[in-house]
Amino acid sequence: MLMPAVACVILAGACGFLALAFALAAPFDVLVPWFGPGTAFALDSGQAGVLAAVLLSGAGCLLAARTGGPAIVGLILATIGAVLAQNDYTLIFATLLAGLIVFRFRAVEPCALAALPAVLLALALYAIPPDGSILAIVPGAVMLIGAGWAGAITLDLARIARAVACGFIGMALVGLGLGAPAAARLCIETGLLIAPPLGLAALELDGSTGTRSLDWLGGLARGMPRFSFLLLAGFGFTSLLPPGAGFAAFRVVLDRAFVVGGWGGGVAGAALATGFALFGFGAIRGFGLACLGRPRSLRAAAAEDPGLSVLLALSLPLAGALGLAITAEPLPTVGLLVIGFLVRRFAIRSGPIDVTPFESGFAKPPAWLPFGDPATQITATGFAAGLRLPTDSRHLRNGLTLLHRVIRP
Amino acid sequence: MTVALRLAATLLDGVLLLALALTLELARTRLAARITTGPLPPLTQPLRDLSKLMCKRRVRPAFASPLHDTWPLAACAATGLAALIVPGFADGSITASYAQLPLLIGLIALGRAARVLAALDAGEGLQGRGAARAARTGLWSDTVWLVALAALAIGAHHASIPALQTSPALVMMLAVVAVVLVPVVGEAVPGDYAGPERALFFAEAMLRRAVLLALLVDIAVPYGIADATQILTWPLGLVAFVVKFGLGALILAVGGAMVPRVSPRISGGVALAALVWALARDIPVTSVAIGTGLCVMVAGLVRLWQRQPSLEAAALVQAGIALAGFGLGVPRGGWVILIGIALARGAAALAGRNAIGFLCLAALAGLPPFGLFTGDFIVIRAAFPVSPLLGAALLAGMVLVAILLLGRPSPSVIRPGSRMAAPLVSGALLVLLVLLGIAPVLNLIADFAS
Repeated sequence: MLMPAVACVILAGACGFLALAFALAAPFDVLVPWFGPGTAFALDSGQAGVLAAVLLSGAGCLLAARTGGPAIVGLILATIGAVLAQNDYTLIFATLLAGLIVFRFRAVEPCALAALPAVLLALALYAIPPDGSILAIVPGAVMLIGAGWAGAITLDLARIARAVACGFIGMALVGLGLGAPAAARLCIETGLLIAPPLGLAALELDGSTGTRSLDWLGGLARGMPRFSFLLLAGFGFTSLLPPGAGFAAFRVVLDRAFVVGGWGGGVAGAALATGFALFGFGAIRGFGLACLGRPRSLRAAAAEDPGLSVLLALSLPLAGALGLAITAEPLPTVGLLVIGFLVRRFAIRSGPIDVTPFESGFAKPPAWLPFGDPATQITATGFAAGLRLPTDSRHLRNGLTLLHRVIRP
Repeated sequence: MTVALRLAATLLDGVLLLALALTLELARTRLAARITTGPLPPLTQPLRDLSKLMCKRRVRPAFASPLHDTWPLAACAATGLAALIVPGFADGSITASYAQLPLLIGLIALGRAARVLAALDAGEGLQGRGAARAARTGLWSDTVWLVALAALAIGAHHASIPALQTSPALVMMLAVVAVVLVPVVGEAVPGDYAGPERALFFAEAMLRRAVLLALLVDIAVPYGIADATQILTWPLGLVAFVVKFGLGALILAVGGAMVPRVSPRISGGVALAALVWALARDIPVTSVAIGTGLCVMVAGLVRLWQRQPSLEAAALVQAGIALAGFGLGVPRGGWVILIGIALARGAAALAGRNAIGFLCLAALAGLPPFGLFTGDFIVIRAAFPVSPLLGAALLAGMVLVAILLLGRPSPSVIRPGSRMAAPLVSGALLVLLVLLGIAPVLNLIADFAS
């Protein structure tokens, strides 16, 4: 009972920081001279927004956590310290503390996906000049493309979650390099709200189906409809497609790249375009192969929706991400959602299209499910086969032969 | 009143785009029937197809998820919204502020994502393979579209479609990208869909093609656009838009027919080149020409080193030197090299694999007495005063090409005892090549080498 109560307190803190993000006009400074040499904290509306996202995801992680509750609370407190820090001593102290907790306790991994990006943003804001630098654009672009690539080819849902977190950090670095700290904050907030639910979903799937590999999942939408719906939202936001928080963040940084122009803007634009395509591919692959089609294992066929606490834990950050999207891109997001809802409603009522209401029509796969058949389905490995780099010995041998031909006297 | 006019213009734009999508589909089917000498479909064929499908019964695969019927609606909603956003015959419509590149490309990608998920839903092997292919194609085309359009937006410092800056070079590059990426042929319906859902996917594919074409027309030919708040300008705008759309469709169809087997990867290179071109506007054209020339020369040398077809590779090296010559301000040298390449390649093609073939190789290696030597000489002499390093690089390229070509002649060019295909013509071409080479020596053209 203790951890749900703590989660409620953290949720209340998230609401408080959210209110401060909208209400705080000027930065609010606090000096704590007795706590260490020159310890000082400050809070502005941007930091309040980041902290609201961290606490929202943290509350979700705490609700779903079976073990490691105190470590999660410690990680959240260390993250708050790092984000609010106003001098290098406090910042490094809190960063090292957060790193130590993540390194020591593996159970905090979903929460780490929310905490570490926030800490890294604090470090980056401290290190990168506000008017931007090409030195931030290039590593950010590499990180964005690399994370997109990793998310598009990996089989593990947990790795997809990590790739999403890294991708949004890369996008934030590009934003910082272009001299747009607000855009970088939006990217980090989006990542904080999207990556932890994916990490939680990976943990939940590991428990209910015994695997996190996309090659052994499939057909979850029939047995786990609510979970799949939340996963659809998570992957939808990850994909950088409209409407969603991911698209809002992508668009803000891309617009900034166009405004800045020059080689910095060009590199950022090309990297964002590639990241957009890679994340879209990865999200389609992740959701399509985990939740659609036929189950690829007996346990995936028998899996059922998780309990309310897990569904709530997934819903909290995703609702925050939706709110963020509505705040950043009000009309496209609301417009698309309303059009989609109305069309679906109209289709169900008047019947030109036979749409199954989401609440009904779910049936478990039949007991005679032929498990020989799914062998004919496309697997996650086959889906991303075109993107994999040649790593087998034949290609390596050919490469070495070519190199030998080039360098031989 | 103004708001009502802007709203009416937006709705009219949507209806017009829908009608043009149907017309485009009709033109495609009639053209296909004409090519295959089949009976021509009636003018109302697309509408009849759609209405027939709407009346048919639905099919639901046994393993489909509850979201199975949502995918066609999602695809149609996304593409329909894109159709309302893309600027059409009039400026200042009610959705004008949303006519932004990222949103438009995002909506089109969303429609494609719904198609891919629809194909995965039933869990069929073949459909899944098609979905994977569609997803990979989408990955490529999204990247290329965004990079190509970023090239336009970087110059304008804005992502708004009406404010994009275009130049003839960028429009040409965008046209190449469009020819490769815009589907001219009809798209297959994903998954096991029948009846109204199948009709929705058909309609979505037609509309997506029309939206992409309208986007290209808006960017490439931003003329004859009406003002949404001035109703009297609408007729002219409507006519101009329809004409531009028709011409665009014609260019795409002809382009698609002329380059039917072109690799989609080419579009990526062109889009990247467009971006570099947009960024490098401040760099002088001469420097760009010299840099490109050196790159082409190195590419040709690498191909020669890899023992790829010798004549093509040698011609590539010479073309690189010619390009550098244009950049160095000695266009006569460049032209002499280009004419020499044409003569030598022509002679080699007609001569067959014999002694004349070897002479053609010697000509392409830039050896005297052939005309290519003259051109190379002019270019290298002009390069040394500009930069000794550049001159040395060009000279090294020439020496290397001569060593690689004549040191290990390719059997595809030289085979003793083989017969000549057209000895007289190839001989005449070689004579012309020699004349081009000795013209400065005989002082036939007084200031040729000066």
